[in-house]
Amino acid sequence: MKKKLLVASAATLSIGLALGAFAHSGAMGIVKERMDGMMVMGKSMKSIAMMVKGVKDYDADTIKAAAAAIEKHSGENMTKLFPKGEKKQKVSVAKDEIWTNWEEFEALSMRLQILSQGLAASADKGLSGASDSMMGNSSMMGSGSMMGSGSMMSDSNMPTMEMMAGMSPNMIFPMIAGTCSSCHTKFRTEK
Amino acid sequence: MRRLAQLATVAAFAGAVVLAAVHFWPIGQPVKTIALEGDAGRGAYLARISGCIGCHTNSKEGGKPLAGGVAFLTEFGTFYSPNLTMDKAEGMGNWSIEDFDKAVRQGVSPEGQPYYPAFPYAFYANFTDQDIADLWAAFKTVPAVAQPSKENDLSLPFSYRPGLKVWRAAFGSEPEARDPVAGKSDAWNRGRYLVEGATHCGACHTPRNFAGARILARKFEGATGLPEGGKSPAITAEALKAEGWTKDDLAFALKLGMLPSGDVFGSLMGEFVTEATQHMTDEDLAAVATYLMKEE
Repeated sequence: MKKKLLVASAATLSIGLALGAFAHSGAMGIVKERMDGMMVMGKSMKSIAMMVKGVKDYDADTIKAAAAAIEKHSGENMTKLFPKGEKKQKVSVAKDEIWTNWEEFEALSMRLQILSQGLAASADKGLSGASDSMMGNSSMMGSGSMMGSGSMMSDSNMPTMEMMAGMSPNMIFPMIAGTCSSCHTKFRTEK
Repeated sequence: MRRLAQLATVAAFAGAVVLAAVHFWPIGQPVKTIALEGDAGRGAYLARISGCIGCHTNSKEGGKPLAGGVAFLTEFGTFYSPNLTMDKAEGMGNWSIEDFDKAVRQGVSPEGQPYYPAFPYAFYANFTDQDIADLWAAFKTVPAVAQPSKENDLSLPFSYRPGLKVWRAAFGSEPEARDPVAGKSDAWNRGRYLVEGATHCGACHTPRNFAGARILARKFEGATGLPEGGKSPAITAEALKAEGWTKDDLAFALKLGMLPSGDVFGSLMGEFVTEATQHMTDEDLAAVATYLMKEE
């Protein structure tokens, strides 16, 4: 079982690396390293999305492999690839806000890692209520009120491992996508 | 020499007359009284997906809901979203529903002044009377915040607000999606109403001319020069299909901010998903996708 997971992660990783090298040719050193990591996470997210959307049949091992890849490239493993005072590379799409707003950047990276652990732990449960709604959630999420930020990214709603233990992968997946998007919205320039 | 002086005087006089004419030129149509009962819950949903709450809440700097102050850096200067709370002095606390209607659907302030098209009133002109009643009911629940609206920081001639009357005469457009199209599905019509109205996709995805007016002949072909120097991709059905998007992909992306490739939206679209589209019901997401992909 563990071996299968390892093989799957390795496969995801090598495909990601190959694609990463292709897409980000020109980046060097640490910038290339983090771009490659992002590519791996993107591919992992895609593999989960295919199942959440119902394009592919659900497979817990694929979810676990994807979650493991995200865990490996998030948290401190991600933030350490953004050293303070790094030499600017033209191909880099990192905004200066990463370093001027380090706390938030770091929090999002940590959040991503915790969510990926929760996702892995939820994998064996399978998708819940997927037939009702492709996203497993048709609620308006409090949008019936004029109050409150549209963002779900505040610390107050950071789920703990205990909370996630009761959730299914299609409940955790949107939180991961939201974390990626939130971080890229704030900290990545669009070319 | 004397003749030249005379000419100059005439020119100056004519200029002054034109300026005065522009200055006092009345704009906007009279507003009918809306006697409909507003549903605040429905209005809040509409306010959320229309971007009212997103653009008028300075969440980056911890601002109170709808108190305004969000900066939009454009090539014309910096616009600041105004205070839309119920504060009597700084917000809309003294407005009537007629004032609100005229502001939202016509882009004209209670004082008769034109709003800059940074405020997408041309899209909101598609709102129905019921929408206006619902929105107003929702806005009335917003606690007052006594925070003055910030003056826009624009360069001449754009800083001369009455000049917008000339702009309106030259570039103003009629709402196009108020009545459903017969023979099209409910989802398509709902999608059209949302895309061309509430969610105002064209505000960022339709290119604009030198004066900042949308080039309607090139609808959804993508634009440059968005706030902060951003640009947007084409979202015509043809462009989306060429990129491999499906209807489901589109609905999924607007809900979760995630592209089919596994990448996510950043920048302005990331913000709009967070503030607006992620809150849409699955039915509305499917409707938007149906209309954009030109499906039935």
